[in-house]
Amino acid sequence: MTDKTTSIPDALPTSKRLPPSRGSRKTRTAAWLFVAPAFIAYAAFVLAPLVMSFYYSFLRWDGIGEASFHGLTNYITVLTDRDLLQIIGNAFQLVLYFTLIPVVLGLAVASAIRSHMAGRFGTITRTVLFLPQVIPLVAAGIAWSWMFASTGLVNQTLKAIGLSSWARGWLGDFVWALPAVGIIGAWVLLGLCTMLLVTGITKIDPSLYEAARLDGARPWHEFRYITLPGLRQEIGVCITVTVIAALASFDIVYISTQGGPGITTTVPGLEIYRLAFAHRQVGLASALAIVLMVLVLISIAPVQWFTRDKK
Amino acid sequence: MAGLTLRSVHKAYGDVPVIKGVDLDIEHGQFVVFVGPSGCGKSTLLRMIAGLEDITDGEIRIGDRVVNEVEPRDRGVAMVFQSYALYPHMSVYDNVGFGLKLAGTRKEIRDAKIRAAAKVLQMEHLLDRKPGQLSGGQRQRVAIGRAIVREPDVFLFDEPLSNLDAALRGDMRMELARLHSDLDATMIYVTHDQVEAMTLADKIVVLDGGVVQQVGSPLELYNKPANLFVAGFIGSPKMNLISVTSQAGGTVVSPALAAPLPLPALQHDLSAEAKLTLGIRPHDLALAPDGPLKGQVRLIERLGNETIVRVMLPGNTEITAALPGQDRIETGETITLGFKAESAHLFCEDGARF
Amino acid sequence: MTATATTTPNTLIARSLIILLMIVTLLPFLSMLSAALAPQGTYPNGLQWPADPQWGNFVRAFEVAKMDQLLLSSTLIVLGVVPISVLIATMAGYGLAKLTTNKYKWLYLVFVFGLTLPFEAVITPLYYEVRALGLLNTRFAIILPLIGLYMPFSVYWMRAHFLNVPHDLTEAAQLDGATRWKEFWLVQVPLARPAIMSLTILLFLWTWNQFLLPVVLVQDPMQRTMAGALGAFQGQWGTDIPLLCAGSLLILAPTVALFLLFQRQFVAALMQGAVKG
Repeated sequence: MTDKTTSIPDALPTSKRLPPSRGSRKTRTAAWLFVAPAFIAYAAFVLAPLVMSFYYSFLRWDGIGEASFHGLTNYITVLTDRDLLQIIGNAFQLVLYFTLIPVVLGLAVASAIRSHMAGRFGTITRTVLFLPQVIPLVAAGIAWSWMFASTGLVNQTLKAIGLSSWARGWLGDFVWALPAVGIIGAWVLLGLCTMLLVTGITKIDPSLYEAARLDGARPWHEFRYITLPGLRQEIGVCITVTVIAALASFDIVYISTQGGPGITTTVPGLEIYRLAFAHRQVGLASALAIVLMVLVLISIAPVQWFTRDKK
Repeated sequence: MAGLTLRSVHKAYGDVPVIKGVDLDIEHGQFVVFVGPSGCGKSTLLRMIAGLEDITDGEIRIGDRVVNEVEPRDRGVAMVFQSYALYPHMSVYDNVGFGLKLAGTRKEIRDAKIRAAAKVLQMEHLLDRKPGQLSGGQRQRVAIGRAIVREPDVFLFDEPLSNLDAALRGDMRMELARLHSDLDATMIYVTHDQVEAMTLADKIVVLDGGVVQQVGSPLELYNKPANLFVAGFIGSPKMNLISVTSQAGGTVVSPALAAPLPLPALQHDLSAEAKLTLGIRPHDLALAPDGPLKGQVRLIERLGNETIVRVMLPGNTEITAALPGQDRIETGETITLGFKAESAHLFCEDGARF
Repeated sequence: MTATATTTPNTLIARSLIILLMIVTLLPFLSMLSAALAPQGTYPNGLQWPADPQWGNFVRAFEVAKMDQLLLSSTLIVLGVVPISVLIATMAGYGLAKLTTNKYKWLYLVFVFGLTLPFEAVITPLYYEVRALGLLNTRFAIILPLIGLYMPFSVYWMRAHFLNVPHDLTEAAQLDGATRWKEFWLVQVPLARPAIMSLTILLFLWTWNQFLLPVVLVQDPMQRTMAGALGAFQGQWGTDIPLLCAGSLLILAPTVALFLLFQRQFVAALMQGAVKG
């Protein structure tokens, strides 16, 4: 008898949670009607252009005249042309600044504070640190162009502390322009990452730290074995957001350096814009666009894998 | 004013059958309880009646109308959910009146009905509150009120008391019974709690494995369980079950029994060596110096009005006896128990009542 | 004892670190402000309070940048994008969360695929598409594509919300006689208010600050968003540092003002937005 009761399909409790008559024709029609407007908008202005991008990427086309089939030539160009490779490399160098600085600093602050920022101080902190998220990236670009200008605050500070020889026009410097752009991105993303990590660390049970201390853990151990694993999800979020911001950057570069000097700060986003609308190489621009999309996807996938799945 | 008929009702999720052919007649005004262990299909069956689950095969009629394809809102049913499912953003008043509003009932009529329902449930003072401000018992009332105002032909209750604490559950049980007699409506009630089933029902439907095991009044189920499952499920403490073998001459033997036991029920059956199960309710056992059940006391629970004793019989069979009063039995003692022949239940090898 | 003994210096370090971060965050703004107040045509220093603050620079920047028209244009674009996006995304989120079986998971995955899509990946064909529609250089060139581009995040966001609404409520509404449409408006939407609010804030910010689309699709700065117009403004007045800084501050003022006003909601929206996105 008992056998019989336990052999009741275990599927039941889960399938019970299924909505009523979800399979029914009426519900299906309703579902389509509810989803349709969003899907049409999405299809018209994302999916269709994406398909067109893919199609263009096999063409040689100046955007006006006749287009001719070009095979994989555009892709081969993207992956072999030295300038284009440098441009893609620039984007990955930006990842270093956009991602590393906010995450490392955010972790430092979070593991130092390790509690909820309450009261007036917390409110002020949140407000200030989120300001860069609220303003247009373009405004951040202009603000920092001014910071990095020859008479800007950066040089002013360097001179004040006796490092006049370091002063330079940062954004016009072949070596320093890209790091300078990276700093702008780091500045924009710093507050968001810090707040995410501080919020994340308050969710770690404080008794874990006490238990670790009783087990003889040093501060480094606490960080390594409690803080880092506990913040895995938040770190994943920070990395995802910042990596996308770096690889798909456009606004900041467009405003602060226009990709110069030379192509030292040109990023794929800017190059797509130039190729398509200034150089009239729609095919090549589209191939670069597809490559950029794929690069973002394969950069994000492992982060998502490491930070979410194991939960 | 409607009864309910289920004919060969089936339900399957993909290839997994959940309800395997249920036939049932419910008359108008009856209080019917579906009872069974979790996963037996009782909630699914209720939801099929409500129209929240598709019917894979068979036919459900409410009154004389086949409702298989009828939308839930047009079936004339109202349901009280286990979670109450009150709309958190609406006041109690609006929660109760939501169905009427959707039906386009005039405002004055609506108001009158809401207030009448609130009066019946003694929750007039709660009408302006939001569900979040109510206690579990109060939410329960609102959920019932929402069902009442719609004046449905059939009320459906899906384990409505399982989220309440024990004391409140007892009160609400009485209230539901009162409501049933006041409203003169058909009610179908799902629970896994046999006490609720026994106290509330006119008719109990015991389900297991998607199959109806027995339909009957509470006492029928208690006195004449149709099979081993029902015997084990209804009654507390559970019925003692002892494996026995029949012998010619109307007796049964078992290592657990001190001597061959004559059973009147067996006298006309000539087959010997049949494997049977003997069932005796703990409350039917009594101390008897010459009784057939002799064993050592393992555990004693003294409840005051009675004493529950677990006794180990030979052959590694453990039984429970509920002895009246406050017996002075001690653990480890050897006692002998007996019972009246007519209170013995016999089941065949396939589990059906002998 | 040890706990308090070790956390006190930590708190001090943390506070100083945070104050340092705040200073770094604020410096560019202060530097811009000091430059914006410098006399016209001068070449100001990084951070130096001018002897004679020229508040008039803001007035001049307001006039030169035609701020009133810019505000109007940005507002029109936001009004064109945000309400519709929120509405259709809420509907789709409800449809995907409550009305479909696992068989239709692919539909949701199609939406999710767009989450990481850089706008640059579709900007070229969008240009030709918008041109074919005859909308180039109108505000619709920004409005329509943005609605589509916001769908992955918005639908994802609303679906996540609706998944958390107990299913019993849907069933109760059904038994109460609600059609799907009525259930959506009378039960689901009121309950989704916090999620809708956050989504509205995020879409407002993203639209107001959108730069790529206006730059590519709209030539006339007066038809652009604030951010897009700022690009043109820099191109025109890039060498006049005081004017440029004054103009930039004016252009970023509206969102900052709204942010300060609704600080709590903005912070919540931005944090959740990052986590879910």
